[in-house]
Amino acid sequence: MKKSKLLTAALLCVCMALPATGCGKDEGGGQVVVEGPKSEADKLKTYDPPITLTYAKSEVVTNYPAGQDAQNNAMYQMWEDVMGIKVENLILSSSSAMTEKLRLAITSDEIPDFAVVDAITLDSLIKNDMVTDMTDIYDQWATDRLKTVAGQQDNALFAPTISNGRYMAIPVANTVGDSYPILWIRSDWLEALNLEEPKTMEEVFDIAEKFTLEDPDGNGVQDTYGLYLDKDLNGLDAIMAAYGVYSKDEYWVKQEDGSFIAGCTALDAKKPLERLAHLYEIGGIDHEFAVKDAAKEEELIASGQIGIYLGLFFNPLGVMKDSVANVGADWTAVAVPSAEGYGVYTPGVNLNVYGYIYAKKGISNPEAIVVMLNHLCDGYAAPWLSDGSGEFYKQYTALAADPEISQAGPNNLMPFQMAGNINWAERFSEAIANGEEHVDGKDADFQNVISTELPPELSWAWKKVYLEGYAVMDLDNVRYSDYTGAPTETMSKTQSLLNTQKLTDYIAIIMGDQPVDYFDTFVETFNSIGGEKIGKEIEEALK
Amino acid sequence: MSRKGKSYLFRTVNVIFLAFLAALCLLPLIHIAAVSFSDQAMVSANRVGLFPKGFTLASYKMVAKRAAFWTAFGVSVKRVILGVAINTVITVLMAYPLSKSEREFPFRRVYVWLLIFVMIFDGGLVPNYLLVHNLNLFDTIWALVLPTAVPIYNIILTMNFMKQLPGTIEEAAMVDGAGYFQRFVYLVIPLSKPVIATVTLFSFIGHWNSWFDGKIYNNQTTNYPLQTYLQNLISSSDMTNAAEAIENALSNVKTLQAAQLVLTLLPILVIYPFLQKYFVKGITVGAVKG
Amino acid sequence: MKKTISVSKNPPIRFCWKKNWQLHLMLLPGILLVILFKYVPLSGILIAFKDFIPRKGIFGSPWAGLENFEYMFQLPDTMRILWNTLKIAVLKILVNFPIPVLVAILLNEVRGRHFKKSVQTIIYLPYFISWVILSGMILDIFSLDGVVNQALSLFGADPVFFMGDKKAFVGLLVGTDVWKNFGYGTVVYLAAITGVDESLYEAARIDGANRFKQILHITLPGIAPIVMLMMILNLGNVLNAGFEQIFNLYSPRVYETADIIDTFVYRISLVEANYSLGTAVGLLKSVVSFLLIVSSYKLANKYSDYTIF
Repeated sequence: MKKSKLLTAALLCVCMALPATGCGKDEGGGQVVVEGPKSEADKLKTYDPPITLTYAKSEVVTNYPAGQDAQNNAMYQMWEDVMGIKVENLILSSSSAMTEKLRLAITSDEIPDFAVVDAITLDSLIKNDMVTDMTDIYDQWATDRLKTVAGQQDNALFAPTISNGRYMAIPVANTVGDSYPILWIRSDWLEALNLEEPKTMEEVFDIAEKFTLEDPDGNGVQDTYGLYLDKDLNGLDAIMAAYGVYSKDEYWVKQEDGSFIAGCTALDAKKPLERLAHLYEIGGIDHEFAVKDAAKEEELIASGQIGIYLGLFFNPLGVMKDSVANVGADWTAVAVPSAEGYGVYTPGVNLNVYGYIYAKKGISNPEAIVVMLNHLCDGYAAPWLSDGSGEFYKQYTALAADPEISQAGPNNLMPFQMAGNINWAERFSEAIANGEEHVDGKDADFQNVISTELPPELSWAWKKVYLEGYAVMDLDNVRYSDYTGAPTETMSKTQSLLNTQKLTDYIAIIMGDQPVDYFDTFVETFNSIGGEKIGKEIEEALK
Repeated sequence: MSRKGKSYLFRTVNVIFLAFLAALCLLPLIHIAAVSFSDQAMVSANRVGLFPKGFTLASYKMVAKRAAFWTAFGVSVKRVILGVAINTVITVLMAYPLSKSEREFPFRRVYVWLLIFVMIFDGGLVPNYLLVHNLNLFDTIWALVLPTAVPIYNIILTMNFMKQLPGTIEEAAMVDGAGYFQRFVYLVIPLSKPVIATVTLFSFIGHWNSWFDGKIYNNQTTNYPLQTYLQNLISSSDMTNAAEAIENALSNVKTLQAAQLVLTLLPILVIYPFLQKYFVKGITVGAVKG
Repeated sequence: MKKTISVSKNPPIRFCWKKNWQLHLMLLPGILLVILFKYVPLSGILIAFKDFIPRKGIFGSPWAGLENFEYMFQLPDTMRILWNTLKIAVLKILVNFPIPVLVAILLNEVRGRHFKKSVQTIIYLPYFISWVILSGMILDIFSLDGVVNQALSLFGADPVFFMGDKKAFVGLLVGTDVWKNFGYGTVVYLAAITGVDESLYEAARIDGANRFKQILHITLPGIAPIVMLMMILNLGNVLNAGFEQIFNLYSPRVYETADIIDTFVYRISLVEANYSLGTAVGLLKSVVSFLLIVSSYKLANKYSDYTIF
């Protein structure tokens, strides 16, 4: 046995040496010196000869135009033509697997030249010293239009990119509309039971109870649910906000004394939880919601058994349209009302970004990242700021009109997209009233809205989305978390634990496993496993 | 009741029970097939049981047009052919020497322990990832085939099977002056057909079914094998942005998913009955008899 | 076919190149692959003792001593996942042991050859279906309005909350695992039963023993050694509660009872990027498994003269 042990030991030594050669390369490389733009036009330049940048692309498109794919498609080609930047997909992955992919890429020290990443991945990149400091580059190279879009709300979107007072990445803005809650309610049921649209959150609950008990579908069986809820409690945050409670994950609220608490631990949450528990008890919420993910729970919408759905503007295109086809349902969009005595409804939203775009440390043209964003903001992401003469915008609009590209999704074909806050309902309604045939910037969708060839439920859905859904959003009236900076130490360690705790305890209360007063125990637990510590860390970080 | 009557009753009940058991094993498969042939609206309302409702081939037509599915299918086929070939060759090559007694092949024990040790100890995700990365195997078929090239369990199975082959035949050949290679090729391999069929089937299933390595070792979705592609499809229902949600709602419907599951199961259903007759023998002798 | 190896005398380990070079050569390609793809990454175990910083690589990262292990034992989750793993694995082993024995005996009583073959083929089939595909089906079938609950309601039972009820979910895990694997065991036991000496049955028949008595006194004792053996060999699996199955089926709601070592390691490593902790937990599992496997094989050797390697 001795010999074998010796052999094993020898082998192990050899083996250990091997991967060492691959890792630990620590050339580091200082900051590449970047010159400022020579002129205003330089900010929208076309690189000649073209440069190549590697990228991590989240794949969304499933049906590419014939002969095209995620790498070779008209949009990538257009970027190359307009900007002189060839984007090469070093990583191509579904967005749900992207975080893992990037985590692994970080461990092998081989990240793409640029990518749009979430705050936690960005934090990890910054800690590993892998990204270029963008502060000066952004300052010198960004056009005013970019500064308007990316820098909205006093640079609030930059918060997660800040490290030692420097911007280590640039937020890729998205419209607030994507996370602005909307109350979708079965209008045919309201009619059947002779009810009015709700004016307060209390009324929403009353309606939900009636939807449950008064047989709104008139089939003589009690098989309807008032309210949609799934295992991730989608929609709950919108209800909570009506009571001034901001229960989203990772949402921190500054108290009057300057301390921070997690939004989900605010005491007023008891009121909606109590109503929900009651609703659950009388059968107004699917008894199995706690184990069904959205896709599964939504089957009940498709089969026409759910009456109220707190969702987003695009929901009609999902299963809601199936309910139209299946049982002839009809839905109406209602602005979410607040509870009595809580003032104007202000939803809590996440920072409206697609992510944060970084430039890998050591690449020779980090300013190209800003140049790209400049092109995107030259009309495309912020049509209200431009006269529509931008080259990128023109080319994009032309390509987007192509039926194949429009079907695949022109935005998703591009490496990434960006959007300012624009309420399309007004623009679309106006265009329809004037008999216009095209709406620049969203023409693909507009064509669907005015199309007469789509199946009826799809046509219904597009109209609901743009003419009703968008119309009830008040995009200027939202609230961000009071702390959106880089995750603190305890945050990155325990955040997922905390999210789970909230989910489990909220669900326990709603399902009646625990009384409402169990909420106090929840707050205690939540704070003891990290909530309180994070609050302190945030105070510290903001000093 | 007479004894004969009792025995008849028992046999009837027994057959019914076993038939029921077999049905239990098939029902889920029938259900998924029914879903794949059903109308989408019926499925999203959860109305399909064991028979298609609103029979349609629409989902299969859609899958036929879905390039990503067929790319993944192609990767899987390639992986299976290459992987099974490598697995099988390595398995018999290693099993034969290890089936020798320790008196005949004293160093055997070292090799066996080398194998057993890594059956249990694993460096973990990150080192494996780094190794494959450093060897430049990313996004190649080799990343899926080489790390799994030595199927230790199959080797043990084959080794045990070879151990129980009558030793006298080999001894006779040895007297004739045949070396190990000759005996291996002309005597042992033909006699080991059942166990080789068995481990081939196991390798086939292993390669066809694995998804985790495909997910970790590929940076491009276009290089995903089928099961990784499916896992991705099934698990990516979290809707983080509007565009994606719209895309999902319009294209990732359940019937389509079911059709893809059925198509993925098909090769297994096709190949299984052919190898089936061998492996009952292969596995029982290999795994159970010492 | 007992005792292929004489256990009494272990010959000294010698290379015997001259006599055995062909054997060594046959092993060479496989062994090289094993060294490259299994032993090289083993150095990654070091991560468990380091504060792993990707930029610096495994070897450049600073040492953390036993810090990761201390942290691991402080985590309230650790005990829970250990317990869950043991509980689920042992349940699976226990439930999965009588069913194949029973089915094999019943199958053996069947006279029709074709029926017997068909049943055998069908019940073995689920063994070959991946958990990716199965999870898609299971989520569907076991929902409240799914087929199973519809069947339960026929008997007037209350619907069961399989995917969310902490207890029912564990039952589901065990049940579906048995469903997938019992065919495998059945095939093994059936072969063992066929191997039982026919003359014993004849003698029993002459003594007037009925079918049931024959099963009780001849078949069962006949396959007992193999059943024992399979149980013992399963010992090595008590820390493998089934990553692929659970990963594709669970939700936070059932973490309390169904989060196991492997799923925990995955989340810690890839979701929370705490590679060192993940590796430490994984290492703990490997060590315990290794001890269990070695001792189970020793047991197997002692009680049934069985040598697996």
